Amino acid sequence: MGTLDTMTEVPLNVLMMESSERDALVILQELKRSGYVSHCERVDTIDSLTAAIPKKHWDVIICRYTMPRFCGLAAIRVVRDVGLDIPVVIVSDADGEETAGAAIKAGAADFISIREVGRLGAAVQRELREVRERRDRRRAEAALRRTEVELDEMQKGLVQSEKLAALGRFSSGIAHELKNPLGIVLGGIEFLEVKTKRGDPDVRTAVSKIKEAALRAAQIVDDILKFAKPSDLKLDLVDPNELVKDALSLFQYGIKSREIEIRADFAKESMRVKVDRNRIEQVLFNLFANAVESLEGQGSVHVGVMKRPRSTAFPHGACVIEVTDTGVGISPENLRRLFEPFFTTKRDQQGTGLGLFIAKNIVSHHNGDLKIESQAGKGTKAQVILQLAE
Amino acid sequence: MSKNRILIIDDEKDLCFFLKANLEARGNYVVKVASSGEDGLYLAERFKPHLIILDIMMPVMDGFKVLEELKKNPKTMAIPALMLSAKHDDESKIEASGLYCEGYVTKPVQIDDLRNRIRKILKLRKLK
Ligand SMILES: Nc1ncnc2c1ncn2[C@@H]1O[C@H](COP(=O)(O)OP(=O)(O)OP(=O)(O)O)[C@@H](O)[C@H]1O
Ligand SMILES: [Mg+2]
Repeated sequence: MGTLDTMTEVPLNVLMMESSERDALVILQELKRSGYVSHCERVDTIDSLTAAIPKKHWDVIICRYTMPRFCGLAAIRVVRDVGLDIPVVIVSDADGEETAGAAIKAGAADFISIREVGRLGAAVQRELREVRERRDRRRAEAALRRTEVELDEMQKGLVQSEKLAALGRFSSGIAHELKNPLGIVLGGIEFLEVKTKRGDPDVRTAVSKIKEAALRAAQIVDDILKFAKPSDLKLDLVDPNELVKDALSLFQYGIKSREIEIRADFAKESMRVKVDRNRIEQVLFNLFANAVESLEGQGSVHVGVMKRPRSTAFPHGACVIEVTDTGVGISPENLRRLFEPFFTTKRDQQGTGLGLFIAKNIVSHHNGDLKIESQAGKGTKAQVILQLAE
Repeated sequence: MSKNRILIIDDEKDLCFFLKANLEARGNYVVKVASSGEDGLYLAERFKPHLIILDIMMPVMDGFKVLEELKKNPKTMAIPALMLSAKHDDESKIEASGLYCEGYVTKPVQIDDLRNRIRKILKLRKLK
């Protein structure tokens, strides 16, 4: 089938189902008269129609109602099946109201008898406008849906950070209450140390064990107070790549003997975040520790630094620091409780369950986010998301 | 050489008991305890301590108030005071009040830490 080109003003991609060359010319003449430059491809079988549709962005399909091997209504179905919003205008020899009704019902944009072909230009113009309107509406709706999802996430984040703030107040309240009794315990231990200096060695061992435990308790109380509500952040502009490098070398220095390798991929783009360096390093340290601990001797840990485009939550864009491990993973029940203070499955290894609680608090105080995804038995992915500096 | 006198003002009696015992056992001190701000001010005049250890969080008269009274009284104003603080923002509060103290020890008190601080303060005083 040939391509017929004419010359006027508005370009129009027309896919035409028409077996009669003469009628095709009449239709193109009419379009030209209405001010369209038609780029037309003519087909006359269902297969050639199906093949032609994806070739180009068609503005309109003009289709003969009845043809030797083809019914116009089938064309409508084909277009609908590929899911494209292309208006199909049916052209017919007769102008029976019944056929017109059936065509419109099947989804035809318009039904025009060849005698009143003068209506074609106006019909095409109207259809093009409607397609444009539908497309704009779809775009607006999609944008709205995206915003709704973002808002929803923000709201969930707010509820979560409210809860965390309440927990922070609660736990620092408890920590304060513990200080005095702990002071007495520590004082009592000192007292006993002096009194038993030359006494029974078993008693002295017992006293020194109690002292160890009390000092550990004091350390926990201190941790809670320092990090449950980190109010005084010392903010600096830093490159997240550097941040991760520093935290990694510090961390790896500590685990060298265990010979676990942590691979890292850094961001190609240069980025700046405004953070309290020590605090964020502490967050990363906790994530590295959890990842390494999850391996139980085998598997690997990977750290990635990435840039993320602007969003409602992060209007200047964000930096994502991702710590992935192939460790034991976390069950769905535990996943929900990760950020609770003192939630730990490592009691026997002296885990306090404060690592993630503190990390979440620190990241929240930077107006960032800490997310953890995991599959039991497969591994875990922790993401620190920090807003980029303006 | 006579022993240095230390006055502890803290409402937590059990804590005071051990602080006193530990300081006396490991340092060359005589320690007296007051368990309220009022008693503390009274003893500060009579006992004439070389140093006062003063808790900030006390009912009725808190450490800030006691410090203020100590500094008003010519008989006690020269005595160095070491504050026992439980909250991280206590220090900035004292600084904001314009009152002078020798320093802070955070709770829970670690006796070695406390002893070092006391030794330093007393040494400086002797040099003057
Ligand atoms: N990467 C991970 N893989 C598997 N489980 C994890 C991972 N990260 C955290 N968890 C689970 O979450 C719990 C809480 O972690 P969190 O870091 O808060 O405390 P912890 O590691 O148990 O103790 P610590 O206070 O020493 O950090 C862990 O006990 C563990 O069950
Ligand atoms: Mg941990």
